[in-house]
Amino acid sequence: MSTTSRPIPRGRGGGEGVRIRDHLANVRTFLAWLRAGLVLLAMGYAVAKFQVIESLPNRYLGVLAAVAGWLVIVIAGVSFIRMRRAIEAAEFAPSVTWNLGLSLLTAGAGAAILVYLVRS
Amino acid sequence: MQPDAQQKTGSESTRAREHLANERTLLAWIRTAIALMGLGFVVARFGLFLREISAIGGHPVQSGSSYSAPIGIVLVASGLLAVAISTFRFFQARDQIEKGRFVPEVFPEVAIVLVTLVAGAALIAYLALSGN
Repeated sequence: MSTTSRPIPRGRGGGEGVRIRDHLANVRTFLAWLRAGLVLLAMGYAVAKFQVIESLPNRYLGVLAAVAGWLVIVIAGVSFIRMRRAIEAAEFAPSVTWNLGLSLLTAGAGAAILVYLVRS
Repeated sequence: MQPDAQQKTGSESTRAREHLANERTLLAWIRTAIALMGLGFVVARFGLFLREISAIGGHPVQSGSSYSAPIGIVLVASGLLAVAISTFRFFQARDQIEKGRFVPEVFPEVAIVLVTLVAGAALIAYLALSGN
């Protein structure tokens, strides 16, 4: 692999093109996480607010979902920076923790809504 | 295309994929901005709607409910900002791909995360504390 002629010989050694695509894919992954967090925030807002007459459990559930969305956005930013560094240093390792966490979180929120809909 | 650009960025098929990846990244930014603006609109307008509904229904109207408008406006403005920054970044990355000197940016992402976290924290505080 003739990487000597390239201006910035970083990335995982697949050449500049692969490095560029890795970084752009990282940005898109970050944006997808950000959107997931935003949707959780919006869902929390809707759950907390749709009930015009005061309902305490609804408000707690809504605030809980909104806080979860906020945390997902924090994770999005942190893992974006970490991945960016990993791509430059060619140390990328696929993580499973946050992905599984997000799935469990969303499943929990869905189950809570289902229970609420069935009982009311 | 210029032969020197081809030499720097690799084969022609690789160059096309880089530009297409850049385009997908812009579209992802636009989607995110639309989500931000949509959430902002709902927060700003739905808060108003709820106040009017509860006024019609004879329920006491809380003065604290007016916080939803500024939070919503900040969210819509950050969506607009995201469109502007990402479009600028798209053309910048386009040039960098052509020149074979790509610099991974970090400012747009950090900026949008910080703005969203501040607005989100305000929204959570508003949801948790408002007596509605």
